[in-house]
Amino acid sequence: MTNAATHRAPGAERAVQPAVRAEGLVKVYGAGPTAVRALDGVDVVFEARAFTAIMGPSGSGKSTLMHCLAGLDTATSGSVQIGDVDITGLNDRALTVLRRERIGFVFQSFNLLPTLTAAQNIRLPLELAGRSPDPQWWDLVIGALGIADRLGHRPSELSGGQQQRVACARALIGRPQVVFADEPTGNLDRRTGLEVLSFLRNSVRELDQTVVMVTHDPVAASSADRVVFLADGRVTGELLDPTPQGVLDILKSFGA
Amino acid sequence: MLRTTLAGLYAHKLRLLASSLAIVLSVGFVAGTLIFTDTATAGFWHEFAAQAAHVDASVESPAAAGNPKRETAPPPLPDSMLASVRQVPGVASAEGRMVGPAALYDKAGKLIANGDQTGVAIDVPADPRFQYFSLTSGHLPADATDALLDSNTAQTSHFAVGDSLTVLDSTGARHTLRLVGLADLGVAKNLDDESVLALTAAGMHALGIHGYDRIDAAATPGTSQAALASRLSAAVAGALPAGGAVVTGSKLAHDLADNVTQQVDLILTGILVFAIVALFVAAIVILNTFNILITQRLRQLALLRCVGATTRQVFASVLLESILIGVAASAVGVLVGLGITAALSALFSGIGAALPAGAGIVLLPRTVLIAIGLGTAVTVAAAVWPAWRATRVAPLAALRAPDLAPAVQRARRVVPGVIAAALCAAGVGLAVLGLPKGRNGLLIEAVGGAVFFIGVLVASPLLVGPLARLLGWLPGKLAGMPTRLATANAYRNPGRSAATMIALTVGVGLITLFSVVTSTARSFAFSQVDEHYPIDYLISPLHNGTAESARPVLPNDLAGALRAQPQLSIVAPTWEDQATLSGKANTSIGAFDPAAYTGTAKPPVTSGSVDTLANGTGGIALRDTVAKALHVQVGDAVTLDAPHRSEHLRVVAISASSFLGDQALISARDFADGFQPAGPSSILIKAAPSATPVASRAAVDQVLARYPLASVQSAADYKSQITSAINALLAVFGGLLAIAILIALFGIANTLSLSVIERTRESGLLRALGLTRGQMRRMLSMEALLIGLMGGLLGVAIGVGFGSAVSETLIRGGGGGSPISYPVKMIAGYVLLAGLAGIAAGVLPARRAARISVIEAIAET
Repeated sequence: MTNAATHRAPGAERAVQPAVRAEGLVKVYGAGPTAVRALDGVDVVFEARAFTAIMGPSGSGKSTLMHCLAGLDTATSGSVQIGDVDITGLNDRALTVLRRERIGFVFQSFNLLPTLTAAQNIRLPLELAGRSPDPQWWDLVIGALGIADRLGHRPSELSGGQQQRVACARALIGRPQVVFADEPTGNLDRRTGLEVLSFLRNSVRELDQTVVMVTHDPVAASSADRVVFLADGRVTGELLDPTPQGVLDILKSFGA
Repeated sequence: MLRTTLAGLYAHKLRLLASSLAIVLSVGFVAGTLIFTDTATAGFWHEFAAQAAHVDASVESPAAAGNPKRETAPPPLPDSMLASVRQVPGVASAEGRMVGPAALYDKAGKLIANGDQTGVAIDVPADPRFQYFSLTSGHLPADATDALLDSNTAQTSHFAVGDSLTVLDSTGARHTLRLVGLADLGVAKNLDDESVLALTAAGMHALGIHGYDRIDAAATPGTSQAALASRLSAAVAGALPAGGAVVTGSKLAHDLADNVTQQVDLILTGILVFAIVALFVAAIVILNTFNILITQRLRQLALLRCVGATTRQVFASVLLESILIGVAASAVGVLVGLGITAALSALFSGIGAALPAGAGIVLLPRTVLIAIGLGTAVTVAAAVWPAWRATRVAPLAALRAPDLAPAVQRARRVVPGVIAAALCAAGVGLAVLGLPKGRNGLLIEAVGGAVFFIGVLVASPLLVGPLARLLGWLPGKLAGMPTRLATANAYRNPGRSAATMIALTVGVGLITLFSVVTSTARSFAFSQVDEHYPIDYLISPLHNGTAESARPVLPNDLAGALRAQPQLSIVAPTWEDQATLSGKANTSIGAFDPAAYTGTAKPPVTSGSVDTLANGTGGIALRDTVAKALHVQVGDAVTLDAPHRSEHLRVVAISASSFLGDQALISARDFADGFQPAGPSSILIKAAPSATPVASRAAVDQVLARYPLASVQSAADYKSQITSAINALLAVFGGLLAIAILIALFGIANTLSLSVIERTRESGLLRALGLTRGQMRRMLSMEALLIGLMGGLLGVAIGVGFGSAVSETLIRGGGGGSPISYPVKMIAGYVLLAGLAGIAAGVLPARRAARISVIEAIAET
């Protein structure tokens, strides 16, 4: 964090070093005849400084994929790499430390701790690691999200959109290798949802962050640079520079 | 609705376990106390009934009729009376029972004494049916030099059958007897520690013991006890000394048992108070648990309301739940009570008062009814408010999205604040009012303490926030985020945290109060020895052959013998007796030898001076309470009606404490004239500065070897006796409060567990964001520590406050003397223990929180 003020230099590094990579990822719940293969051999790469959406119908395994990618769940077989770290086989403690150092999260709800103010919520992952935020980066993120005047409030005093923007700020404040967003617009009205999506896109374009978003909303997915489609635990296709209609067409082609 | 309630109970069985345990334990305590009382009482009855089994009527000497202790108090029943009793028609057999003084030397050559009581001898009845002891080894005495010894004394003084015993009779003559057997005297002996010898009638006569304490008679078949008693009354009427009585056998057993059971009842009433404290603490825990459960079931209750349940049905459902829990837990509590009975037995044995187990455990229906009724009533009473809250749930709540676990709830401030302030002020007011009233003020102070505590109870939700922030501030700075999260969690639900900690406050407050009072009592006693009566040794007389009520004295030549020892610099006899002082009967009057004033008697005089008592000019010094009661000051005159002279004495000094137990002090010369004492009541000794403690003690012992009925106590012995007595007392109180404290810890564990369940999603979020399992555990432990510390601190604060008030009233009597003593280390230890206990209570909830699966916790429902 010593040269934190400078943005990460763009360059070849990105091409050789994807932010997240999964190979042959399999996740089986249960055993015997009732076993469910939630992930059935997923190979996928998420580029750094890109906004990728994972789409699929309910039960397609998209949440399981995200949980495995983010080190919240361990895969049955296959490997996951975050940056240059292979997280397969890391123990709970190492995974926890990896999450707070390299990964940011935005969830659908229950995003903020009710006992902490907005500012304290944003600092939380850093403080858990015993670090403090870089002031210039802080100003940049807070400014971009437009929540400077809400920092002293507790979540109960914030609107849903404001809460989600605080959650975005928290995800970004540690400059993670990747931000995982799980249905970030699911609990928001359309207009606020769009605001959050545009912030996520801007964080990639202007702040050089990497965002992976799980969603079932074609409109949300279309704000990403790329959409990865998942069905029955397998990657079934992808779409670059998606439009809502293009996403819908592909979903329909699954015969859903 | 019943089906729904039962299903709800089943679903929440684990959550209810801890609050059920609170009921189980407190009901167990109450039941245990009652069972123990009944068991002990039945045991005594059993034993005394067995003793009097063959007695149909008994003629009692004045001593036996008024005082069942085996103590000579002349006159006994004359020897001739036994013969006349035997001639009464309807008497099948009769036997006289002799009792008399027989002081026994231990193997080191000292008299065995319990306090100032030396041992007694009883006779072995010729008719074995009247024998009220059982032979445990050896054989019955055959001639006048054979003796049985009670097995307790044999054990503590290491006597075995075949040993020779040296006994001192009431005239001071020594007798050598042979120990031929050991006797178990049963329970009655357990409560009195002096040695008991059993001799033949000839052996008794050899010790100068004549006459009978009691004459027991057995009736011929067909003669009722009442008939026999009335015939005996008529037969002995002329010869029975005043104060004697004739009683039936059943009355005799009743009287014997009553006397001991009264002592036991008194102690058990005290224990019952602690049981009720435990019940109160349990009520707090139950109230809190129900409140939390209701909060967590709001949606479920709202759903019930949606599908048509009336508020009345919801209320009834919650109450029904509490009744079922109350009855079930109380029933288990009664079983636990059987275990607690055993614990109490061990406690009594520990303090040297083993109780009879002969009759077996007695579980009366009354005990079961009281215990289950009380437990259920407390549970239901604690559930009324939560049940009412449940009825306030709007049906619409079921349709709303589930909220986040509520953030910091603002406690309502103004109304509770005002009520609490008023209650606390009233409590303090009462305590202050009670201060100058001496012992009478104690009740006022107890009420004040209770009122103040209720005030704290009301105020506690307001105190939790500031207290938690204060206590959590420094650890938060040092230990980082998990600690700060814990601090915030500790006061996010002020009502819940307050109820949790206040349960602990009760126990800690009471033990602190006891600690302050006992510590003050000790420092008062020590200051008496150190500052006002700085003696090295105190010589006191032992009873032997004098009635318990009589005042034993030391031989007159003892002081002279002690003075001859160069190792002793001051040897000052004191005298005491009772007299009427300006109309105040039975006032204890003392006098010190002039030598005492040269260094061993410096009473804490608040006005005037005792110089005239020292130089023999005369006058009287009064204790402040006596002066106050007589409305006299220094310079006023009082009238002393001594047995041999009545005189007016000028008050020369007022003292803040008694004069070694006496209310008034006069000069040695006035005392000799007025009372003509048989001998000194004690001798104060100060060792020569050059003599080592070993040398001065040896000098005292050397003299006392010739005076067996004088016992010596050193100031150091006295202090260590006081210290160990106080420590024992505190240990007993601590043991009795342990159950209340344990219940409070269940409360902490319960609240935390329920909070962990409630915060599952939040915990999942924290784990996702990078809180390690270890940090999660530490967070919960910290929260538990904070609750424990808050409860402890609050308890200590209240305990110190009211402990001071009680000390002031009880020990300092509103007067001067030594200051209130605060056992600072001990009190700090209580706070520390409360914190540690909190952590211990938090272990399981912390593990549970650490085990939470992130995926399941954050999964959208």
